[in-house]
Amino acid sequence: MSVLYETLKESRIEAVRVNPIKVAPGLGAGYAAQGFCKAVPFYHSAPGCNFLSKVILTQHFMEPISTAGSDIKETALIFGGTKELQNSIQKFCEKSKPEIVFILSSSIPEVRGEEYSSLLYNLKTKYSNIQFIVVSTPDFQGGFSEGFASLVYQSIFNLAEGGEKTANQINFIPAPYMTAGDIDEFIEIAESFELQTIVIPDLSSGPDGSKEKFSGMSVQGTSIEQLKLSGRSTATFTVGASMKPAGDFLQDQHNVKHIHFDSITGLSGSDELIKQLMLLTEKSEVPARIKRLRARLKDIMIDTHLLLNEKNIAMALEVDHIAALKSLFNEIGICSEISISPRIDTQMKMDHSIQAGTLYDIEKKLASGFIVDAIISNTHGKELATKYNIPLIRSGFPITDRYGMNYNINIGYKGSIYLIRELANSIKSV
Amino acid sequence: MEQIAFDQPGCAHNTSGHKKCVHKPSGGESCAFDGAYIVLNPIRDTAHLVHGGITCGAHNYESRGAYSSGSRLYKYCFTTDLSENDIVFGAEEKLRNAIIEVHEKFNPSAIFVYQTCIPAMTGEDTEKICQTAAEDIQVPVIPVIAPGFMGHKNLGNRIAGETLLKYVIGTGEINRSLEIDSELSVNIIGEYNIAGDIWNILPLYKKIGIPVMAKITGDADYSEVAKAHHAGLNLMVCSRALINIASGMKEKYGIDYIEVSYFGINNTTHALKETLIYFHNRKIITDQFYFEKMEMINRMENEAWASLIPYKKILNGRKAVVYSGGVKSWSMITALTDLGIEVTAAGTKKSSEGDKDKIEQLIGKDRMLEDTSPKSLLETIKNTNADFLIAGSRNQYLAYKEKIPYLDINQERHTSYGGYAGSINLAKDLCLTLKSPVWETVKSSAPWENDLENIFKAAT
Repeated sequence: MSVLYETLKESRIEAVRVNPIKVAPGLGAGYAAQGFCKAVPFYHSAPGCNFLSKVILTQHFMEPISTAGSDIKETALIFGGTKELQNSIQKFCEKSKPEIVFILSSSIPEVRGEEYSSLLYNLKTKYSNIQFIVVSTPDFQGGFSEGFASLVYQSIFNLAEGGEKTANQINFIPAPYMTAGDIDEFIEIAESFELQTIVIPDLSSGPDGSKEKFSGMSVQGTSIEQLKLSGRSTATFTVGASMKPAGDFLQDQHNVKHIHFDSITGLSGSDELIKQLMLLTEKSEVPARIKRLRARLKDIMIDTHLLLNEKNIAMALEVDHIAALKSLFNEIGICSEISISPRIDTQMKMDHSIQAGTLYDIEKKLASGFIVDAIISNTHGKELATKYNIPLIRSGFPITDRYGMNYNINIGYKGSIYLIRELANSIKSV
Repeated sequence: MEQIAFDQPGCAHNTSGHKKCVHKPSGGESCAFDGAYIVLNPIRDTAHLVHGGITCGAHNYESRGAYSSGSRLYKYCFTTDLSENDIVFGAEEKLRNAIIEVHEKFNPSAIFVYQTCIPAMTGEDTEKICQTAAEDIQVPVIPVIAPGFMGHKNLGNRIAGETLLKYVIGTGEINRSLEIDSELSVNIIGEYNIAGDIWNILPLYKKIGIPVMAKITGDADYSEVAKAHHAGLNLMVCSRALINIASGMKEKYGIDYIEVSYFGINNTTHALKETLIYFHNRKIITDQFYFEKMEMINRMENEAWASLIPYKKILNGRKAVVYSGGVKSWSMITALTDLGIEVTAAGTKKSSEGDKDKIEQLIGKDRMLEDTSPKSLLETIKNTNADFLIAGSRNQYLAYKEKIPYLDINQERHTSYGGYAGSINLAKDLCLTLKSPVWETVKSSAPWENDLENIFKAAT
């Protein structure tokens, strides 16, 4: 045994992550890209980053997913890979005729310090009708939410155009955890206030199963036209701290009012959303459907309070998602003494129940005798939930072993009703 | 190591003059790291520590369906999740700490350390770190040098093979008085126990009295793989990807190998009989033993055929398009032929030269499909009137979008298709997808697509 080993034994900090729920920022960006019309995430990376992103996205959406990549080889490490990247992008553009190409710059080019301005110049002169947007997604800069947010930010930054405001048109920038069901629900609520919504990215019509025939790219989703028009909306609604910069940009650059929510889940979160919509449209009357949903939510809160009050639920989710669920949990008395997220915000540091960690941190707690009534995490929570015989509620990304999860609703009165129903029934059935 | 993995003079079809013989496709395939991870990950009581950014570890976390009947440690995802500081200041120290931490908390039989793109770029000496860490913790720490930029999945498979030969196989000893007769035993190489395939194969060997020394690597323990060099014969399953293990063991330990497959009834029978013939020819088993067991194989085969009859009635004369890599590309064709299904085309992009030769013998050159883009696959299905697409999971939703019955035969499936029992599962699943009423249901038109005028007229 070396001397080094003995000395290190005292001073070691945790060096290994065990069972992370964090996924690559490249995957988050690839996920967001599915919500744009005729778009493709083009991975400037080794072949595996592209291939496995495609596999995971396909398993999650249960839809054909298109990704492409430059398949970096050893020579590109030494001589730089932009030449090869340009060739492979050109090949792809000739073959598939996309409208937006998101060039996702992975760890290899970011470590090398590759520079894209001449590449972009060449591509833009060659294909004037295709938009090329570089998104920096190295592994050492965050995870799913960060990748998702930077792709959305870059698309707005590059394409939004200002101009005269269109009355009754708003932008909705969903949080990274939102499903097709959530986006549909938002659009419906906005419609009941006679507002037309531009969703960026529109994951409700991109990879949602409504595609009838096979196509190499997403055929619906946010179009370039909509992105351009987003600068002329009357307001931008953003949810979740990670999406805030995109809303701020539209406000600063194109004078689009930014209305930000930490959560539109739970009674107060949903109330806040409705209040802001009323203020924006200057309406004092609310559709009967919404009133009824609010009453139902209050009713199910009372019906389940005996079961759910003081129940302890462990969460392993992205930080914005935890914030949204916590706002509902606080209203119904669910405590969540361990919540794990790949990263935590400064504002979250006040809350000691949320820590940066992995599923293994939950496992350690359980092994020490800590009692948890349910776990909310992505598919990877299964092994842990089975081992300790705890109900698992699948949420977040990826979910590869349940069907139709993309139609779940977590927002508004309706989403809160569904969430409480699912929580109560999974706790009760055991 | 890389050079060794590229060179494969042992391949019979390597007539190109140089020694390099790795199948190198142009795209649409995973990287070398992934290839190495797939092969080694099923060794169930070991920890698999991925030294790199989060992509490599998280993308492979529980992504394959290799089953285990023992330890579940192999399912854990261990990664160093390199940060910006780690890249600037180097992560060798972090890796050392990570290895020790894994050892102290999880006590694995061995630790496989995968070097991925970033540490390879910054020039870390992973091999050296593993060596000193192994001395410290007194547990094998095995470096797997397979950064993704090195090449595609197939190369990674071979790197994994080389790694096993160099660090694992040959390090374990057997207790001759207690354990199985090593001269008569076999290793099964290239079977990963996807969906429990190997659990349908092991009972067959038990019945014919041939002990299995090591499974490489499906449902295997580290110690089992370590003593694989004591076996009498190697059975190569995923033929081309791991052939370097078989040829390496022949060179190093003088163990012969035969190429087999357990997809389909005929393939399974062939594999079992070849094993007996090998030992009989070398007078390791007696004539009586040999004939008795050959008879038993015939009995098992006949039973399997008998239980297939109801399915064959449905499947006979149907047509299928197959697209898979490795041994599955040709063995699936034989398995389907067993069921009376005609293979109208087989995608060969992911197949090596040797596999292609076999496919050519089975279905002829004009049914081999080089272009396996979604568009080309769909066209082929339409042009040849095929009833199913049989492929890996990436093409599942391609088929579903076009309302074509489909079956997954790759790593992500959850039903075993290996051995006699698996062949029946395969027939059952094919019937399930083919006979499902949904294909008709989804063809019906929506109310607004009908001839509305007539409907309104009829209502009034």
